Amino acid sequence: MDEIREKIASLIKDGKAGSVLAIVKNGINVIPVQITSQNLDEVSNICLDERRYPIEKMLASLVDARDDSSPVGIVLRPCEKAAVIELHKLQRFNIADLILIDIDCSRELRDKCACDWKDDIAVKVQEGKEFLKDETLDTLESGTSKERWEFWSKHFARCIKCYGCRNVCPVCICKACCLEEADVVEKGELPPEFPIFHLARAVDVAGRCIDCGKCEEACPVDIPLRLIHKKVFRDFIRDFKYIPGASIDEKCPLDFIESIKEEGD
Amino acid sequence: MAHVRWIPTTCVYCGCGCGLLLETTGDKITKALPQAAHPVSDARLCIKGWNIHQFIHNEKRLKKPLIKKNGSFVEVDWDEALSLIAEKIGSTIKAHGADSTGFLSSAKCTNEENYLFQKFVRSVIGTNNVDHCARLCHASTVAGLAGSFGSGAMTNSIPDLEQSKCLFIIGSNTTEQHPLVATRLYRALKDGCKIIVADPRNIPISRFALLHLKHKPGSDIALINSMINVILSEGLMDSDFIDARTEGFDELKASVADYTPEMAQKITGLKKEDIVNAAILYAKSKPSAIIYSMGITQHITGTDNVRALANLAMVTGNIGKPGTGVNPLRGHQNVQGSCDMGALPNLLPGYQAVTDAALRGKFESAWQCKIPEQNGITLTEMMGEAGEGKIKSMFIMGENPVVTDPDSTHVAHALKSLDFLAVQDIFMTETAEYADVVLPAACFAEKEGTFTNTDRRVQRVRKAVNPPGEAKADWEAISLLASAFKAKGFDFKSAEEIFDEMRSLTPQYAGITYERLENETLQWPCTSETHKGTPVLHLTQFTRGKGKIFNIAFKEAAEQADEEFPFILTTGRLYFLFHSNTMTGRSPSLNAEVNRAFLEINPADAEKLGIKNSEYVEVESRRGSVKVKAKVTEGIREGVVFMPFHFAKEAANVLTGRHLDPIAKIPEFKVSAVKLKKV
Amino acid sequence: MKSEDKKTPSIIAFTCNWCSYAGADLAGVSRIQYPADVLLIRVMCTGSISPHYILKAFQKGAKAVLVAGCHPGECHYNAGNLMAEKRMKVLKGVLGFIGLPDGALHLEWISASEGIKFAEVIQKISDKVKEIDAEKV
Repeated sequence: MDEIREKIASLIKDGKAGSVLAIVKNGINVIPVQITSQNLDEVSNICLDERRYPIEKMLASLVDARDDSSPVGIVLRPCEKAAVIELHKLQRFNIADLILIDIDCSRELRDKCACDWKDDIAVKVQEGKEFLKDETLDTLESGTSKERWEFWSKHFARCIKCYGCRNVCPVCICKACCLEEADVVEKGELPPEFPIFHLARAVDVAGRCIDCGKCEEACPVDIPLRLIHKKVFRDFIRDFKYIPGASIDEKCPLDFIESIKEEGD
Repeated sequence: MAHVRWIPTTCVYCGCGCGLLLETTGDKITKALPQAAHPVSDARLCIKGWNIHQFIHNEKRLKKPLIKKNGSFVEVDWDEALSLIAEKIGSTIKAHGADSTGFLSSAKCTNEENYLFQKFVRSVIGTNNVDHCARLCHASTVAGLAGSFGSGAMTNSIPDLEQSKCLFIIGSNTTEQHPLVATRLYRALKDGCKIIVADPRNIPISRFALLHLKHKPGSDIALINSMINVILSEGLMDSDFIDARTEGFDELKASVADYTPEMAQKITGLKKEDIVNAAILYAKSKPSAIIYSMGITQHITGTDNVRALANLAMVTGNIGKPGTGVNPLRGHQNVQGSCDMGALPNLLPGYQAVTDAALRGKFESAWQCKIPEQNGITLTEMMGEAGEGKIKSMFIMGENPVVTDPDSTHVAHALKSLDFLAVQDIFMTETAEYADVVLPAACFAEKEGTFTNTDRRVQRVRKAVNPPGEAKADWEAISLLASAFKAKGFDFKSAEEIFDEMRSLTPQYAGITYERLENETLQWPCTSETHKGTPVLHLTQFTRGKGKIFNIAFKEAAEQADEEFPFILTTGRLYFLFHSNTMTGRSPSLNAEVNRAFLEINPADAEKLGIKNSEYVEVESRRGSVKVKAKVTEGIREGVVFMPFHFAKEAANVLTGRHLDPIAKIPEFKVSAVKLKKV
Repeated sequence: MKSEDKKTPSIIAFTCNWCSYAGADLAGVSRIQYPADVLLIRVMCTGSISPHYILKAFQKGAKAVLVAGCHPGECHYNAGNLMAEKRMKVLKGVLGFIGLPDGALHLEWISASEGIKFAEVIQKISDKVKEIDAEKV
C-alpha cells in the first residue's frame, strides 16, 4: 500500500502525471480525489480496501478536464483495467494519455466478488479451462425457461428505474441512452417495462461488458443483475472466442463486418 | 487544468437522507453519484438523487434581490431589499403588534438556518408565529407520538427495519416516496418478512404484500381499533409489556370492544376476514414494525390516527427493539430537523415548550430577550388569519404554500390580502410571484450545515460551489436581516458557530459536533460528546416514562361522498418528482419521465361516466375545479380518485379544503368530496 | 410481456427486401398457404435490425419473432446477414436466459425464390407457438 502511495507521489512530483485519481479516506468520507501537485498531502490518506466507485467514468472526467496533454494516473483493479481497455477501444479516451497503476482487490473484496478477473480469465480461456463455478448461474441455466421467467419477473418487479445500473456501468457511455427513449421504454412507469428495460441495456453492452458487477452493487432493490451480464460475458467468450477487456488490439466481433470475397475477386 | 472534486454531502430531496457525492469540475456541479458506503444509502440512490445536480445551475436561479415596483420585479441590492423588509415589518409591528406578523421557516433549509430563523422571529420580531410545512405533513406525528411516547420521532432506524418479520405499511407509498427505506423492506421480505399494506390504491410495494387492505380513506381508526380488538380477543397481546411499560390500557380495552371486525367492515369497506388476518399476522410474526406516512397523518383525526398506531405497537410490545416500532417517514430531507430546531409556534428547539416558564427562561437568558409566553399560531391558521386581515405581514423562507397548502384559491386570497410579503428562495416559485420583496438564496450544494433525516440522523451538508450571482446562504441572509432590525446575537461567522450555539440549548443535540460528524452520522438523542447516539428509542422506558395508551374513538372525515359530490379525492406524490416541483421541475431527466398530472379512476366508475383513458375530466370540489387527464386503473378503489399534487398548473390543492385536525392543525388532504365530469 | 395487447400478431417476421421479403411475396403470389397471424416487417437488410426492435416485438405481446435474411454469401450488402447472425446469437442467449421459451426467436436464411420454404418456416414457428401455449396451461 505504501508502495502505491509513494509511486503516486513521485509520478506527480516528477511531472510524469498531471493528476492521479485515487480513493482517499478521511474519517467517514471515502471518496475519489484528483491528486495533483496542489494537494499531495492527500496521498497519505489513499486507501485501497474500501468499496468500489465507478472510477472509469471519473477518469474520463479527469481526462476531459485537462488543459494540457499531461497523463492522468489511475489506481485500478483488474476489472477496472479491463473496462479502461474497452473505453480505449470505444475511443472514450486514449490509453496513451493514462498511467495505469495496478492493484489487486483485498481478500475481503475478492471473496465477496463473483468476477472472473480474479481468476485470470485470459489465461484460463487460452488453456481451455472451465469458468469459475457460479451456483445461481448453473441453477438457472439447468432449469426450465418457465423457472427462469418466474425468477426474473419476480426480481425485476422491484425495479425503481433509478438508472443506477446504467450510471455506474463503465462502458455505458452513450450520450443519448436508449433506455430514455420513449419508443423503447414507456416513460414514468414503475416498475419499468419488463424485460425490455433491462435487456435493452444487456444487449447493447454485450461484447464490451467486462462483468465487473458494479451494476448490481448500485441496485437499490438488490436485483441479481450481474447474472445476466455474466451469462452474456461468458457466452460471448464461448461463441466468439473473444474476451471483452482482455486485449487492446483485438476488435469486438460486433464492431465490424467481415467482408466476403465476391466471385471473381 | 480544471480542478475536479467529489464533494460528499446529503441529498436534499426526501427524508431518507442518502449520502451522495457531487462531482464538481471547476465551478460547475456536473454529476451526482452515491457515496460508496453510507449507513442509509450504501452505494445506492433513487432517480432523484442521481439527478440532483440538474437544477443547480439552471439559468432561472434567483441571483439578485427583487422588489416589486408597479407590479413587476426590479433588481435591487441587498441593502435596499433588507431595509424595505425591516421598514414594512417594523411598521406592521408598530401599528398592529408583533402577533400580526407570520413567519414560515423551511424544511428544505439546514438545521442551523431553522434555528437561526426561529431565534430571529422570537428574539427580534417578538412573536411565536413561526411555523413551517411540517404542519402539512407530520404535525399529527409530532403531537401524536409526543403524547403517546413523549417523543414525536421515528422510533427505530432505517437499517434495522431489515430485521422485521412483519411490516404493517399504512398510508405510505414507501417505494415511491422513500425508496432507500423500501430497500430495507424488500430485504426483510427476502428474509421471510410478511407485509401488510393498507392503502386505497395499488402501490409498488402492495404487489409483494400478503394482505393489501384497500380501506376507505379516513377509516383508519376503525381498522386499527378493530385490529386491537382482534388481538385482545385472541389473547395475542403482550401483557408483560402492557403492565410494565404502559398506562391507560384498561380504558382502551373497554372501548375497543365495540370495534368488532363486523363493525369495522362496515366503516372501512374491507372484508372482516382480512382485518382479522392482518391483526393476527402483526401480533404473531414478531418483531413487527409499523411504517406510516401521509395516509395516516393528513386527516382531521391525524393525531388520533397516530396515537391509534402507537396503541397497536404498545399492546403487542413491538417497541424498543430492532425491527419494531412506530416509524413515521418524514417527507423532506430536513423536516425532522426543522421541527427539532423549534421552527414551531408552540415549541422551542428540542421540543421545549414555549409555555413552560423555566424552559422559556433558559432561552431568554441565552438570547438576551423576552419570548412571548403564549403559543403562536400555525401555518394553516396564519393563512386563515391573513385572509381575514388579522395577519398583515409575512416572511416565507423556502416554502411554496401556493402549491402545497390546501385550498389554493384561498391561499392566493390570503397572500394578496397581506400588507407585505417577503419570500426567500432559490427560484421564482409560485409563492414568490406574490411577494413584495424576493431574496435570492443558496441551494443545499452552496453552503455548509447539517440535515436531520427521518431516522433522527444528523449529517453534514457541504458546499461544492458558490451560489449564483448575489444569492446568499439563508443563514447569512437571516443574519443580515437581523442587522437591518438593529438586532444583536446574529454575528455568526460560520454555520458551525450557529450549530454550537444551538446544541448548547438543545439536549438531544448536545453531544453532536462538526468534528464528530466527520467520522460518523449521529442519531439523536445524543446528549454528550461521548454518547454514541440512539438508533432505537424507548429501549427500556419511554421518553415520558410509561407509554400512554389513549382511548381513540372513530370519527368520520370532514367531507363524505354525497349526492352532489359522489367521489372521494385523495392526493399524493410520485417517485420521479418532488413536492411543489421547484427543483425536480427544472431537472430534465426527471421531467422526461413525468411532467403532467393525472387522475386515477377505477374502470367501473369511469365507465359509468363515459370516461376513457387519457380523456380530460373536470374535477370539482366545494373549493374549485381542475381539468386533468384520466388514468383508468383497477389499482384504485371504486368511489375514490387520486391526483398527484406536484403540478401548479393542474393543481390538486385547488380542490382540497382547510379542514384541520384540532390538535395538530394539519389539513385533511386525504379526503375531499368531488364530482367528475367528462370534458 | 403485455398480455392485454390483443392486436399484436403472434408472429412478427423481419424480412429483408432483397431475399426473404421477396420469398414471402412469392409464397403469397403462388397461393401457398401459411398461418395468417403473421406481421411482415420489411427491412433493407437483416444487418440493420436493432435488437431493440426484437425486444419491442416481444414486449408488445408477440409470441415469436422471425428474422429472415439472405443466405450467407448472397447478402445484397455483402455481409450484413453475418452481422445479424452475430447479434442474434447474443440476443437468443439473453432472451433464453430471461425465460423466453425455446423456439420464440428464429433466424433463417430464405432466398427470393424460396416461397415454399418461407411458408414452411412460418408453419413450423406457428406450430411451435401452439406447443408453447399448450405448455403454459
